Amino acid sequence: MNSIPRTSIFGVGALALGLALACPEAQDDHRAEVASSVAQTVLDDLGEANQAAEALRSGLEGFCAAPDAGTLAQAQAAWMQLRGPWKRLLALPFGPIVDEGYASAIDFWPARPSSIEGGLASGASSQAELDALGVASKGMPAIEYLLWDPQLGDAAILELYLAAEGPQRCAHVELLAADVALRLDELDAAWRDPGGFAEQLEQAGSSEAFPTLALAIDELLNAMIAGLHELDDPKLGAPLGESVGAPQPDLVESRFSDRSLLDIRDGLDGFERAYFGSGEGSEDAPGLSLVVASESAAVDQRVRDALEAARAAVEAVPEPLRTAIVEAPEQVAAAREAVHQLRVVLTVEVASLLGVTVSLSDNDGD
Amino acid sequence: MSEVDQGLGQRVDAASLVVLRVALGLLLCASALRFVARGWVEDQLLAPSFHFHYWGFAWVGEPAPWLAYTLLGVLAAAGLALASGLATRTSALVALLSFTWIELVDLTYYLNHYYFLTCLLATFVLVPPRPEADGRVPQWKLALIRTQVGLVYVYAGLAKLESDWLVHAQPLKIWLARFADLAWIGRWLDETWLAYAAAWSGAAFDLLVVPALLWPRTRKWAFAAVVVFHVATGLLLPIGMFPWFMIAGATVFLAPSWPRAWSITSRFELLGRPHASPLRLEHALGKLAAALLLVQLVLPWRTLLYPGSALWHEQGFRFGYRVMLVEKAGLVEYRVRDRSTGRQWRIDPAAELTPMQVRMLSTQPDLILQYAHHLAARLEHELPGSAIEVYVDAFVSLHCRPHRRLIDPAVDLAREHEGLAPKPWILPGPEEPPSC
Repeated sequence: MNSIPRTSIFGVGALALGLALACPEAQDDHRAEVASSVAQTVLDDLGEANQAAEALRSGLEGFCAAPDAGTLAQAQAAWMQLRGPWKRLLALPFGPIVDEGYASAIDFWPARPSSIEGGLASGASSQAELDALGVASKGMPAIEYLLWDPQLGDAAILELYLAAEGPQRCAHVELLAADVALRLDELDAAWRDPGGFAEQLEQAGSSEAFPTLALAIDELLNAMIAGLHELDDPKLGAPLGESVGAPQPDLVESRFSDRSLLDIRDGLDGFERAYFGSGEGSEDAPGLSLVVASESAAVDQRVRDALEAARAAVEAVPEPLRTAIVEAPEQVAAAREAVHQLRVVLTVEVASLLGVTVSLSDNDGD
Repeated sequence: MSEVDQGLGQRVDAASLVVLRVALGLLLCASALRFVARGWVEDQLLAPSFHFHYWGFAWVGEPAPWLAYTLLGVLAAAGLALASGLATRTSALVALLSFTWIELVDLTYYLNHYYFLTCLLATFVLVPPRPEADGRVPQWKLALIRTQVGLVYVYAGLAKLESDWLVHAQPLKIWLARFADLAWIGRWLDETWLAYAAAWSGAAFDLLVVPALLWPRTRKWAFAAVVVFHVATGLLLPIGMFPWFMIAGATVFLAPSWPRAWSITSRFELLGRPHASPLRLEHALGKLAAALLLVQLVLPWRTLLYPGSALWHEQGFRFGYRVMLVEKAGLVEYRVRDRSTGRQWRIDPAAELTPMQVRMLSTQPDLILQYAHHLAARLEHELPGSAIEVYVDAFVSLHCRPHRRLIDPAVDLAREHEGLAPKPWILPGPEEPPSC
């Protein structure tokens, strides 16, 4: 039997010593913290959305019990209140919110008055009957349509509820609000329940959905990109008429309440919370920025710059969006371009930095 | 007769070629079955409503479902026939045709190892890896097949002799960091020094492994390194069957009679199927195989005819065995203008293409051009009387550098032609170093 050469023993020993000395003392892989933190941020927003949905139900009950300008304003304020956490949730379209169709069930875009009127005319009076209707006739846009009239104002809305068909209209809008609350409750459970999406994210690296941390970060980054895409293309580009060459007011989101630009700002807030974490760079609740900055401070800075530019450009669009697309299209186009550039930095630079394109291959590589 | 001729005419054991043929046949069969099992027939061949064609091969259309499955079935059967030595030349030819047909359906699925397999199968057609009547083969047959396998390593190594790989350890820095959560080794994978070590040792491995495999004194260690290298890259990176094909390929560098030393000769004796062919025909086909090799040896250098970094513009990049060399991400949006009406609008390619096609399109100028032509043709068909101009906003980041425009946004790509000439509408790449 051959004896092991002494040089080999020294070689192996030197290698082991080298590895031991080179062994990194501190673990600077922040991906698990970020995945967990983002899950918590989403849970917070879901909690806030559920509370707001209940407040909307109460507000509508109060309005229907005594329809007047005050109760209408309260119901409208409750709808506005719900919109904030919901739009932040939509900034991260991943997990059950898209996989199980909650995004379109709760917030179908663009709102179609004919479908909403059809839903009202159907006489649906129970959850089961409402379930049979298409998503275009219900959800938050339907409630918005039934609570606002941007042309004739609140007086015209009140008139409808005080007319002979008012009670039926009221019952329908209450049913719509109950449906939104139910869907949000289901969505909350899909995230929060044991084995739910939050747990999958929090245990990324060993969970069924995310057996590696890289997969969780890929999913998060792709969701953030998809969320921005939703803002720059359909919500700003489409109303500008980029595809048809003329402004398209019917494609403006939240056009009845004129919350369109605030919707977009809430969407950017949702993006910002996922990127910076809750509380700008907080160590307790870090965002993707921590992962990006640990790989490249320069790329992280470019995301920050692009986000700031996007925020400024959206702020610069005069309210409301439905008139700005006609009267100030250059500013709307600039906002669209600024949000698009933020998406470019995410899609191109952050994805390249984190090697996201490698793992997303649905084919073999080289 | 010169010494070289005498050396090339020397008779050598065919056992290593038989083992290579058996392994390749089985791997081809497994690849075909895997392609079907993973649903790639539907996703990649049938689902896309538009396929990117290879230059000069636009006539290879999308196969009907029955044809796609038949081609893969034929490929699997031909792989088994090749492994068993049944009509070796014919089964290699059938495997070559079915494999290449599938490969040619869509350019976005181009892989270096697909190209390698096409060339290796073509070599098998010309120089069948089977023993002749005396159970042996002339040395030149073994040399041809060894060269075919070896040039993958050599060109992969040459491609790594550039600054991003050697000076900045890119893209390995990016790729290895993704696995920082792996048990035991993960803590090292995010370390810069390891990325450099991997980059330099990877380049050295590619450049030196062929001579090391050929030299009897280093052969065993070199083959062990081949196995470790390919298994490690196969486990870490999504490169599918490539590592297994390369490990199988590397066996051809072992001593021609190595299977006999492992006492597996008797099992392969049956598979060897000695075959006598007319000598003149064999020599003529051998020359064709040599010509095929020459083409492969020359093709990678064509990229030098294009100004700028090939990692950026990718002109002359394919068919060069530039393996796992680039990490790029891009975003492409088309702007379309109808000259007849002045109307302009944007088109997101994701509306028509599959995610995989969009991903490949987003960083490759020739694909961007091809889709621009398709858009112009499609829209002019849909809008009779229109005259469509197509512009593109394409942003790309190479190895985490700040993103740049890849394509001149003022150029109407509908009027640009496909071809091999340098494309002036590709903008210069970044000159700054990677920012990670």
